[in-house]
Amino acid sequence: MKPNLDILQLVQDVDWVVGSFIASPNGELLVYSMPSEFGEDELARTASRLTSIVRCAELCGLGVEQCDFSFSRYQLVVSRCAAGMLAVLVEAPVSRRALSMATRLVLRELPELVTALSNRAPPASAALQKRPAERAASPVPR
Amino acid sequence: MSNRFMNNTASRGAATPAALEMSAGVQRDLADLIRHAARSGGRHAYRVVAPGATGHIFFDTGRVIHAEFGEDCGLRAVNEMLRSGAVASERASGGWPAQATLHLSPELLLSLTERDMSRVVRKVDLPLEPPPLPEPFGGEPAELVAPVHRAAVYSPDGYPPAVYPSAVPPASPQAAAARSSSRDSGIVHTGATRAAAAASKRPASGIMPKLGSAAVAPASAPASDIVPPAAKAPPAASAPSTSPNSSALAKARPSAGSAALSTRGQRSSAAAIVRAREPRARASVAARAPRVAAAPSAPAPAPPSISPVPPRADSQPTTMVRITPRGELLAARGKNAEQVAEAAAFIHGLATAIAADLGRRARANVHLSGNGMSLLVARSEVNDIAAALGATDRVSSLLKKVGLE
Repeated sequence: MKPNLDILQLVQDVDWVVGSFIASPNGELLVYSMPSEFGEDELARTASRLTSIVRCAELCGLGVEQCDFSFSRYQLVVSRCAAGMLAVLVEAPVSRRALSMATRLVLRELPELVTALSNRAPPASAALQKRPAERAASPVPR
Repeated sequence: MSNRFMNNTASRGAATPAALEMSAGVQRDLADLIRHAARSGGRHAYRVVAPGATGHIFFDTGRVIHAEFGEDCGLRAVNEMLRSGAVASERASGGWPAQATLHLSPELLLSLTERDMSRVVRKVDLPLEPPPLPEPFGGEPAELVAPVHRAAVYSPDGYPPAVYPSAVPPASPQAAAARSSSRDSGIVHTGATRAAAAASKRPASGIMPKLGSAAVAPASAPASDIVPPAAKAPPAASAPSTSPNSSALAKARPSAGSAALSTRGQRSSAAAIVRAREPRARASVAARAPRVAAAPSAPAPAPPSISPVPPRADSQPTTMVRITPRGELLAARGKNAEQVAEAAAFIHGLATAIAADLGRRARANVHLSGNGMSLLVARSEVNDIAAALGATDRVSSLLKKVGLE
């Protein structure tokens, strides 16, 4: 089953969305759609750190569903589900309602996407699931 | 109080201008000091003394940024200092407040405190027996307005004093008609309540009239209301004392209270709207909805924005901590504060690293939420790391401050 990698296009179509990526529950970067100024290494570290932050909050008794970061011009909006997390980098004027709807649509497809990515044939799945340094495939086309 | 806000950083600032110099043993008028400080830069701190209390006041680039006086701080402390005639006795040495509690210019600060000092004191000792009415009974309703209410001084909670004329004159038919029509329109009268109080010569409790209608209601009480409520009051007459209770309370409360209610109501309804978008959050909204509906027994009025808020007694208070960038605990309150402080330090570090990786070396503020609870970690204006863990609707004001609402 071919994973629907265009799912991130749902989020990209929202105005003022800079980019987005999907990570597994373990913090592994799976799919991303970001401008070239954001390297894969940075995104992979970010995904891992997000997972650590979520685990830290869970230790405080908080069941994390949503995680928002604000740093100057950008905001990183992270939504979690059992299958993984979707992180969307936006600028301030973004429509929160539109973003929320797009996020829900992506999260709805996330379990199938993650399953498909994990069940793919080794070369393609390796290209998508392995760490950025080992990956030969290009990111999701915008 | 002072220890909570002070850090160990010694006050620093430019050379003290001549206007702010304090010779040893010389006391200086506080208002004069504030005005002169407006023309100077740097940081200055002074010890303030008054009969029965002492405090400190802190200036930064000409503005008062913090004040402590007795048990008060901030604007309240400045107000008390000026009210008590406190004087600045000497320059203070030691810690500088970790957080500014005032952001007002000296002129505005003094004007606010002067206005406060000239305000009529709200709590007064009322006579045991009200003064007699000036006119004999039988006049027009307007003439029978009890002077007590017109000149009423309200108790600190905003309700009119529970003192009523010892006898209520018989009302004219016009007054009775006006009263019934106003009752139908939703304005709550306490005719039955007040009449019962008048009959028994004891203060009435429960519903208080709306401030605007207070001057008219007592005079328009019909003669038939001068009976105990259980004896003769018709159901319609007694209804105002029970069913529109909430609306009466909502309307009769002081503006700050009703604003707080409406604000909290709006906040809860706004939070419900935002959360309803999330698929999993719907369950949390549904779980919370019965709690809102089961709030105080009084029926909620039509606009949802002013529906009663569930009592806070059963909800966990927000845990709040402040730590330095190096992890030293500055202030803490609530359960598991130590753990929250550790989480705040850890999360802040990771958030800063994420911001750096994404090309934005800036203060990173983080908000994690789920099931109606939130954890907020933010960098304060004075470079402390502040964290709050509690119900999302309670930290919404903090979220607004850091731009994460």
